[in-house]
Amino acid sequence: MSIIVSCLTHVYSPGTPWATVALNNVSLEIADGEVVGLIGHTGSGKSTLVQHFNGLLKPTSGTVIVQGINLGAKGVDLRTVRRKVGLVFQYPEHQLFEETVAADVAFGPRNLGLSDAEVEKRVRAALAAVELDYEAVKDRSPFELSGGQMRRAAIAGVLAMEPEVLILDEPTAGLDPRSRAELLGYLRRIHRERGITLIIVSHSMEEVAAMVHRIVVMDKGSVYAQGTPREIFSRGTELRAIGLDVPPLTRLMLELRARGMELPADVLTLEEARAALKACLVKGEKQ
Amino acid sequence: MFKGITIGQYYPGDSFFHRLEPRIKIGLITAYVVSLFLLDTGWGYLIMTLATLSVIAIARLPFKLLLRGLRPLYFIIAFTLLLHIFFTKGGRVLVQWGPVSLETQGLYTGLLMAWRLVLLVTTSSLLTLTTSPIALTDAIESILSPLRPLGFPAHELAMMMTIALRFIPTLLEEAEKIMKAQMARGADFESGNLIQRARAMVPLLVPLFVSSFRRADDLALAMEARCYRGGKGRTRMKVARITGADWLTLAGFVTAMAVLIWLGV
Repeated sequence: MSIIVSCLTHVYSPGTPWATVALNNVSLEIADGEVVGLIGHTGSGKSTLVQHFNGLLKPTSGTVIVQGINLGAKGVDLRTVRRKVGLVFQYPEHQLFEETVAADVAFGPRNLGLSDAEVEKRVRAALAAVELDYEAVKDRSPFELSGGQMRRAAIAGVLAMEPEVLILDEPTAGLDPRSRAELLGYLRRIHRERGITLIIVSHSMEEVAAMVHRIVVMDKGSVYAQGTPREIFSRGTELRAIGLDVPPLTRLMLELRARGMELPADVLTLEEARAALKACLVKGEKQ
Repeated sequence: MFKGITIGQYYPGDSFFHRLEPRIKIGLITAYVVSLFLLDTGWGYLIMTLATLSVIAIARLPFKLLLRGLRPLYFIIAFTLLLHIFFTKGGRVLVQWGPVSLETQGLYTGLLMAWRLVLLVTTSSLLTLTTSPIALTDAIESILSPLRPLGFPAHELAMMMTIALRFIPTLLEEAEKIMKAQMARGADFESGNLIQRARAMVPLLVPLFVSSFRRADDLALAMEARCYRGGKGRTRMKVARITGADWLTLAGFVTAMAVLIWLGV
């Protein structure tokens, strides 16, 4: 098991009038090499949850075990954990600071105390993974890049740490549809090539549906549901009740079902939808 | 790291002190601070301490919050105390240690001065703790507005303060987020000597500057888009009015302070 969370509760500003329960008794297991989509409405606690995975936040109660290390235990070297678990925050381009792109991507590996040669190797590999041309961008200021390129450079900064678990908080927020699709493509390839565990936090089902093995739905600080995308989408009506939207295709199927058409609830792809609709219509004609 | 900062923090409530008109509150605090510098006996300080404590009790403020506000000043308070203990002479000699002596007058003055600092900081933080930032800057604008004919930018100053106060929590949040992001990349903000620590701040400060400028730009644009052109002719949604009870509170307090000072307590 890569990450085991049991009975995790987190309260912000405990003991003040601003105290808020962000996570309430969350238990969750994530296997090695798994791709998990963590879905939830704003304020459902998904960002708070992932910050426990590399020890940036301490549980108010409960335990988090990452690769066999209990993060709550005394004397745990959190830097070892942060080397294994890479966390890409929302709008990661806001953390760029160095004079050149290469130096910024190298920040993480340098903090690990690696040799110059190893650092350069990792920087090259990380930039290549997000399809930024090393020679073209290495000496440019990160602030001169386009928005999408800045995002990719920032993600490369975390990739260069070569984590075993990569967590991305809303990686596509604010990107245009094309950059969005490209970025998800890079992530899919990184998972395939490096075999790392991938956790993608998002509020959009559609985005993660095609690439994750499992979806975990969060609501009001608790795990509301989890399962394969197919299982989760068949509960579309419930999801809409907690403010989440299922992909347009699934929604269409659900609404047609609600109007009495005999269609499966767990349609995922366009082909499946076409086949199901065709079958249904042919049947209707026969009668 | 940033949790201890209470400057400009508002602690919502509905007590008598919360409801006092902000201009009156500024008047009260000013009278308090002036009196604090004019009084210099133990009895006077005791009365002032009781006054502060009773306001804390009336406003139902948690004591811990006020102590936390004092934390950044521990060093200055201790420094003041030690300076007086060793350098103010007079009274009985308590300890003689070679050329260094510790005398009663030094101890007495040191304690009073240190206590004066504590009262000063605690009481002035009561103003921001019980008044919402908007109400506070409106009050400042209104107090300064008589100076406007002399070319004093009262409205602009108040607007700048409102914006500054408004963005303190945002900046702290941003700083915390960037710090976490850099920590996730193995940055270390907590160990090392002074120079190493100062260097470690670069990955935090550069992004913070960049985002502050971006925010300032966005805000300016948003204000212009809504036709903001300074204070001239602006009306308010909430017009603050000073009631009879407000005036009475201020008058009562100022009189009490005047009597104390006149008595030479």
